[in-house]
Amino acid sequence: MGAARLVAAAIATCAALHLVGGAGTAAAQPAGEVPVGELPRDPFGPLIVIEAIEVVGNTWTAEQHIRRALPVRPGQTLRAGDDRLRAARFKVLALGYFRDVDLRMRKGSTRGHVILTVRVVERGTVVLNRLFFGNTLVTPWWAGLDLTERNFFGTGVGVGGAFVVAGKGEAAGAGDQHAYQLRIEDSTLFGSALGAHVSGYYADASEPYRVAGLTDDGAAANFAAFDYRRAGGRAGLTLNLAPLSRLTALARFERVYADLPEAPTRTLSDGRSVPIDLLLDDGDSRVATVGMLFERDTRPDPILPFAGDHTLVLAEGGASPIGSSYDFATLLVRHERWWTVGPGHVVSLHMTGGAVVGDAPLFEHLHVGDINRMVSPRALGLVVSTTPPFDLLGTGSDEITYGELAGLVEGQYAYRLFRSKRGVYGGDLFVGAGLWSLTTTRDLGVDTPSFPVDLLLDAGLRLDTEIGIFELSLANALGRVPL
Amino acid sequence: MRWGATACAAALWLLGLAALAPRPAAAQGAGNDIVIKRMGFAERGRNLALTTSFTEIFDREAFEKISSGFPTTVVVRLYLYRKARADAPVSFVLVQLEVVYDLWDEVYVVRSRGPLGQKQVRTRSRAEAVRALSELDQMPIASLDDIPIGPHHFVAMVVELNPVSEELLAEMRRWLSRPAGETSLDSSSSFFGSFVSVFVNPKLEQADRTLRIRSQPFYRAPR
Repeated sequence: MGAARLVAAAIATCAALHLVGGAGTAAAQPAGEVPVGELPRDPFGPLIVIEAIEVVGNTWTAEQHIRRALPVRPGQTLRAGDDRLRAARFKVLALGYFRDVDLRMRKGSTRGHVILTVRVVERGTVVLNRLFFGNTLVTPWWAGLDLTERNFFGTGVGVGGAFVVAGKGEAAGAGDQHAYQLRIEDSTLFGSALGAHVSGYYADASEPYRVAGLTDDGAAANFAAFDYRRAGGRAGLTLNLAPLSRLTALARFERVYADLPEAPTRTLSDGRSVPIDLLLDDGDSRVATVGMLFERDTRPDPILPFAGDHTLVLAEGGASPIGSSYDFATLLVRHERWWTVGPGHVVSLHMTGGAVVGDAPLFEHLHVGDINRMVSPRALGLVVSTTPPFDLLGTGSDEITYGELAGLVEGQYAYRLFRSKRGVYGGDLFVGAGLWSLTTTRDLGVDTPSFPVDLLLDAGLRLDTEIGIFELSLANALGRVPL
Repeated sequence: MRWGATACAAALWLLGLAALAPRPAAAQGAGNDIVIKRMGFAERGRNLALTTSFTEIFDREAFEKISSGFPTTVVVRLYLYRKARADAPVSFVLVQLEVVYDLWDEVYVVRSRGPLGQKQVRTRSRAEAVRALSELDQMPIASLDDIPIGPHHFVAMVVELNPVSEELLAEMRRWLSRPAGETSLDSSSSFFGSFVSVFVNPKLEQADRTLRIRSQPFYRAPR
């Protein structure tokens, strides 16, 4: 019955989107503008020698960062119609520090020599990456921010920080939760293809675990909580393989202190009690890992994508020889691709998969909120909800909270609602549907489905505005209310 | 209880959607508007030739920038459609017009590339250079064999000033999806995108300016 209501809401949403879409295409061009063509690059114009480069307008940003971004150097000889000169303005804009960039040339000291002037208009570079907030059956409230200054004191170094604070949970033994993160990144060390980042993390967590009740009942009375603390850091060295691809080597070390209850058990509906593995060592332990992250992002517009693809692959492992108390490995993969199928119509495919092998600590296991965004995600690593996912297909997908194998395949359709040159630049309505699965290889002491597959449904509005990106979606709303 | 709350959440979400969604017709940006323009068509040999101009692609700023010493490019894409079958073009033609200002000789070097091959002209007048960049004169756009006598046709034209390749555009906006020091697949953070991200977000277009122009309908008369 409930599932039917949700599906009906989704269908109503699709119908609403269709109506809006019809109104938006009044001035439609013919749909057949498929060929775009491209002529081969062939520099033309007079030969020039770059005598000097002047930078103007940078009151905050160090001049060397702008010079490094330019694809031309003093002393170079090239044609005035060279592609490097066409791209120069955009290479400086790609730094992300400037509202506008204007380039001009004037005569140099001798015939054929030119002086290049780069005039920049700086902009604010503080980014509010994320807002954390909501309330659920088990957490009365949580709130937090994730901020980054991308050009710290004009050095080109990014400094970011995040925090989440959650009120005392309703589960037995639960306390307040808080987590903090500090990040520093230099995406191009001394102008080279190498980047580096370090981050520190501290969390004081109160992790809920089920002690009673049916799997679809997320009420706080069915849960108890235990405390653990994490403190540590991560460092990474990034190699920019190409403008749109990068490979990062990662290392991490954390100290964990867990105050585990003695012999925790879960009482099943038939009255039996089964032991629970809380997936952490009691007392002090350490997590030490090394890993590799590959990322490729060819989307011309990552906010309202209409073409290109985005791939992420993260492999990480911890073992006692490098100081870890936990021997484990994780592999997380995501691939997304977008196609414009007609003017204003975009379809996309999103695939995510993850696997955890070995004796991984609790927070390294795949949480249901990582894979199903209709469930509250972990906020900076803290679990703030005990609400199970909707078991829409009746496959028992609500049984598993932490798993070792997970996957999601989702298709989305986005309708270009409008595009504008100022204020609100653009808006896309989208609907998506997919199949997800989270399974465990551990013995939970209860009958768990071996490979439960269920539905993911989402719809919403994405806005690209002068003051940032906003997304209003059904899944986001579901993850922030006490269900 | 849980499904009731779900319905409430869905209703709230739909209300929010209705409140936030801008009106499509009013919000259409200037870059998406289609202008109807009278163009000249003639049969030249075995081809249909087009004569038109689009000087409005150059505003004052673009006009000034021609003298900056950096190249200015105009890309023209021409699509010929049969009016009754506007789902696929009968023909497609690409024309690229470029100019650079030679600071030392004080001349504008204009190059055009298209169905007529490559042509380069030099002029001392900026206005003349702009004219050369924004006019098509007797440009062959389709073979007459592809245009039957009788049915109505029209030409759709997309004109871009200094278009940016998708790869360069992706490079310009990549920082949007790369917060400092965050590994996007870090299992301790959200697996999926953010609900909100606030920052100063200047508009970066795929071209400095884009015009979408459609011709009047026309047909071939029997001779």
